[in-house]
Amino acid sequence: MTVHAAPRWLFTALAAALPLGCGADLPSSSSVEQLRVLAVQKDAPYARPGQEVTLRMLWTDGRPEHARGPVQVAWFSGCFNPPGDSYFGCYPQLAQLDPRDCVTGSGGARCGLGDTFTFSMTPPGGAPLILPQRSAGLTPYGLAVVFFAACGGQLGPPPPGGAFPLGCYAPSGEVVGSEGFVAGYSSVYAYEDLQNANPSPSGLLFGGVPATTSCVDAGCLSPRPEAARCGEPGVPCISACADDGDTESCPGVDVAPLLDRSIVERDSAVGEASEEQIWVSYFATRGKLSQPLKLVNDATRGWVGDYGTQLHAPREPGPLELWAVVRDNRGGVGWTHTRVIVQP
Amino acid sequence: MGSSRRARVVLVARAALLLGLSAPGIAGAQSTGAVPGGSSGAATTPAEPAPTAPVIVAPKLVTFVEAKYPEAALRAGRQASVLLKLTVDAQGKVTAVELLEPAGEGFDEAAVAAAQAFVFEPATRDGKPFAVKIPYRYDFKLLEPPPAEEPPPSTGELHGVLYVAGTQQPLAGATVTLTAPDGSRSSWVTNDEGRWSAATLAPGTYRVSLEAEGYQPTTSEELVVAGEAADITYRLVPVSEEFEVVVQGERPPREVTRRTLERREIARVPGTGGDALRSLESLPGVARPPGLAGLLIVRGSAPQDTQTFVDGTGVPLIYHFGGLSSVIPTELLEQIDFYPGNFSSQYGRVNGGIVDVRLRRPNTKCTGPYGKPLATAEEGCFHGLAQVDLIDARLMLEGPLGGGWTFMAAGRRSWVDAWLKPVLEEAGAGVTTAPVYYDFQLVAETAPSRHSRLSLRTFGSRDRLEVLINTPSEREPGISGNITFETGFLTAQALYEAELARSVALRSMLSAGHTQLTFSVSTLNFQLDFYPVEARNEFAFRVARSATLNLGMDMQVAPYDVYVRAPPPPRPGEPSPGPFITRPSIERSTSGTGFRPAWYAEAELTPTRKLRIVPGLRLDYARDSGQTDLSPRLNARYDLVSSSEQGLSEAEAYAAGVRQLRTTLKGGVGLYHQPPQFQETDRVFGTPRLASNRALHYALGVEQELSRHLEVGVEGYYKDYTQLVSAAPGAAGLLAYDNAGVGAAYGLETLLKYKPDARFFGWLAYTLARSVRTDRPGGSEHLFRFDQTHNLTLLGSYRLGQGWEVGARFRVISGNLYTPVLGAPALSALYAADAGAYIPLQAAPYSERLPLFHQLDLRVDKRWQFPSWRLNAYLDVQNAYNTSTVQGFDYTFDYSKKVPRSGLPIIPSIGVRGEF
Repeated sequence: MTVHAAPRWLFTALAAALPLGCGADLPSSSSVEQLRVLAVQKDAPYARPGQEVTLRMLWTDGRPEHARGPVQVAWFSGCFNPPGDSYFGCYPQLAQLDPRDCVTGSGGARCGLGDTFTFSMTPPGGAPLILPQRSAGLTPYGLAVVFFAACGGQLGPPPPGGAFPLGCYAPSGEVVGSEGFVAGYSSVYAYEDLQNANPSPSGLLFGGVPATTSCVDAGCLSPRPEAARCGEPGVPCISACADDGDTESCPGVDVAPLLDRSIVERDSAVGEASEEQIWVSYFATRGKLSQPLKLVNDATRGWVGDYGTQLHAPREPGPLELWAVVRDNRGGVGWTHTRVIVQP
Repeated sequence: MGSSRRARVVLVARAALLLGLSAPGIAGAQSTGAVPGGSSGAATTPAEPAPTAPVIVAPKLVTFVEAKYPEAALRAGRQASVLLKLTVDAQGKVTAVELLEPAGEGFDEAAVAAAQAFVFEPATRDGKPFAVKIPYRYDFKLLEPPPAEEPPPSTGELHGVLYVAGTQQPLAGATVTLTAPDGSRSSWVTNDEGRWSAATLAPGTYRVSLEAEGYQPTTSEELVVAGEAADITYRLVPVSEEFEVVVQGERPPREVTRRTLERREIARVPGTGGDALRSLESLPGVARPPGLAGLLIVRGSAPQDTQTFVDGTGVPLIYHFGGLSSVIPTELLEQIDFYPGNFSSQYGRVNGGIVDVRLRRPNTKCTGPYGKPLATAEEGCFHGLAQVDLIDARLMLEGPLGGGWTFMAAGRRSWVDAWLKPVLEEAGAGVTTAPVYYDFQLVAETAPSRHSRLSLRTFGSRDRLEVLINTPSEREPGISGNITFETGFLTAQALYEAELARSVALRSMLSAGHTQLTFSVSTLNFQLDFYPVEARNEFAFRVARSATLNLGMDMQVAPYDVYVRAPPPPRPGEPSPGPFITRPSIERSTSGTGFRPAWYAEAELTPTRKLRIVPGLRLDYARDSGQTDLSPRLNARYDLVSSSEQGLSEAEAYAAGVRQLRTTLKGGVGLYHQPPQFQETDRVFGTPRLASNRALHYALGVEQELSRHLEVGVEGYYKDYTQLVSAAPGAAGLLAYDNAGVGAAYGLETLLKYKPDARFFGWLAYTLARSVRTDRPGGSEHLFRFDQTHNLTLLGSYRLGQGWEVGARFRVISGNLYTPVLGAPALSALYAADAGAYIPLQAAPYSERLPLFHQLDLRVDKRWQFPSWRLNAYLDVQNAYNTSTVQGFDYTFDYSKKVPRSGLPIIPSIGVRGEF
């Protein structure tokens, strides 16, 4: 018997055994069960010096209904060309900023509140943004780091032992943990000549059919109307499954963003140009996605046709939210969203 | 070998004309006579004649012919005395020879033949010649000439004693065959004390073959040095026990500590799959590497601080796929010498330890049915093996090549790809090339002259993996797409050993090769092509009986081509700058030639039998850093109690039953320099003209024999690190380096070892260690990332008989250090929005320790012997009681929760081997 003639179940079993020696199953990043920032989109992933750049945050609060409350989204800018291109190099500047000033609006142009934030790619004091060539073959560039925080409470100074200069507090004064507080950053690179477009999808394929209820990019930030009824063309529906998203017993529905190959650009910032690396992340508030991330385009091998995943239905009927966020390796991002109806 | 044993054995035939002379018909005639003078002659004075009797003058020997000393008797060191009756006619010719007191063993024939050629001045009676019969005693004696008259020695000696393995029982009647460098052979038979002795041997390397009925034959190679006598102890294993033979013939070490693993130990250490280098992890001073990494961590040093050699050539990649198995298969090894510190001046460029792997010589010895030894030492036969286990399959063939050459060829290929490819595909990966590795070794050997040996080798290794991963990692989405990993090396090596003169030996090695390392994933790319040429030459001058001077050269020339496309590394002391996939890469392509010559001088001084001092001096130059380093070293060993007294060799002491249990004090101090790594002095990625890392090694220990096989050794060490290369933030965002780092590693190593005998080997090793570093001036001292406080290993292997052997290894080791992620109420991670991944916010690097590691490994071997071949099978069970020792932690995607990640579960591994 050749090895290749071995039954498929054997290889499945071995594949399942590969993680042996690792820990127990951990929640997938695709399961939205807490306050999550799903993406931050720049209208100009590669900016020019002096250009105004607007950032949009796609976030959602996946906490249980009873735990939800107002979410404060704040932005902090003003850090350019930090040492080592590391966000860590911006900490001294960030620490000087009182987040309460941003909340009250007295923080000036360096900070802001809300789902979008606009800042200028202009370093303070007239310093040049684009630095001289840092190494042979590397196109000169400049870097701005913008921090953000989504807080299911009130922003404040960091708690004791904190390594990030901000904290999030409940009305009771208790520190809000990661279930209701997300802090992060986005890097905006500036080149004299290079450009990059966001790899935005044109919609969402659900069961191989474009979902008529889907939105893309900024269109998803405004409140969405309730989904139409099941049975109407292009309305994504799925039957509830008693095993609550179990990938074996709950039938999966193919899900994928609608992408055109034209989103793939050449990456010529360094040396011999190659194609962008592009991948998609999937998120759902209920049910289970078989793969949280899939590759769309490989820098050397090119377009990957199979970048979809499968949604396995949850136990409880009702709506669930589904996102697909597409990113490239140069800071470009686009997304699509739809509401899926889980039928009894 | 003791110099007092330098007994230059010469043949002296001493003839004695006895007081007795008879002429035909004249009874009781007075006898007189003399033998000629000379170095080998002696004479007796005849009695004065009675005044009234006729004047009779005894015949006078005028032409003495030296008898040919019987060869067998000479080799056996036997002496004899033969009493003859010679009939000397009136012309002085010997007309008849009778044996009065024969001695046998060829002495009689030799004496008669010689006596027949004697010419006398005839006996006279009153002045007239007449025929007489005279007694004549011919003494065959082996005499040691007076030291004052001793000519410069041009030959050496080999002496040995043979025991039944595992006992102190001498093995008498065994055949010992010596094959000289020119191919000539001579044989001896061990006496009742198991002893044999070979004298007047021309200098060179001899093959010693030992055979005895009912025992497995063995061969070893011994170096005969002019003017020296080597005493070697051998042991033969009964045929019924096992096919492998333990041979011990230790030469005095130049180092404070040399730990030698023999083939049987290497092959039978449980939990290693019989792998050569993984067995080193069971020795004192060697830490358990984190995870499955194939790293050698010696005495608190970084893995790159320890160098592995194959007969002097550095091996750039010692493990396949990060520790799966080492690149040199066990079957080809003679032994592994491991020096955990204070190593000889012949080694340099590293501050950690040295592993010197020695390939064995091709085996062309013939055996009889069921592997039994032949009555004669017959050579010219082929041997081979085929082995397969769950990971790889290997073949080996060795034998004569003609024209005085022998060869050994071996190859190994993993077959993991055959079953892992469908598994990976089932897991969602598109596999272009499943993980595969192979290695090969070719050896051809000959003896160009009586005093030299030439070995030509080529060996290589290659690992390759190419997968298309279409499910990116949640933590690092860049780890996706086409991932290629390929490493390999190809080395050609020539090894030449020769006795250039009576007291001058040369060991020369020249190698050239190509090392390749390629890694690419998404936008990252790293390619290294390295063409190292290495040369080692060492002349050993025996300037006096108690002094040998070793002068050597150790040179590396290494053209290289490097291409790197990657983001800059994290700045020192700062957290990860985030997923690499969204950061601009630096591209660097460079070529150059590394040039690192070194010269050393080292003396081996034995002012007394008990004291051995090895001072050494090494001079290193590294063109890449522009540094010249001088490294003085001193090692010494002193036997408080020698294994033998009164100048007896160890073998003689055993035979005489007066062997002592040896107690040895040992110590050393030395300076060691390790040049910066190439990237650290690179113009783009590093800082040119860095100084070498420096370490001062101190060691002090004691070795105590507890019995014939049991020995305990305790050794303390301290390594003082200074001018360590340390990274600092650079102006352009890249790293800048300086030599501001300092540190120390210290510990206590204990080894209680039962040396292999016919049935058992094993040891208990315990290391207490600590390794600390201070990276920047004024910075706080912290534990080095590879620090392990406690390391206890207990292992043993026992032959049950009938071909069965069982072994076990139990280890209890401090957990490895890890870098913890901050927990509540602090934020655990930052969200890097461009990559969609979280970056952990961590506490100080390697500031917490994982729980204690403990594991039991078992091994069972079974051997079947057939008339012309044998079959071996083994079962090696790692983690036999399936403990779930924590090896690290897995985190949720946002690092807010963690769960322990256990080590590998119980893993049985099986393998079979057929060999002839």
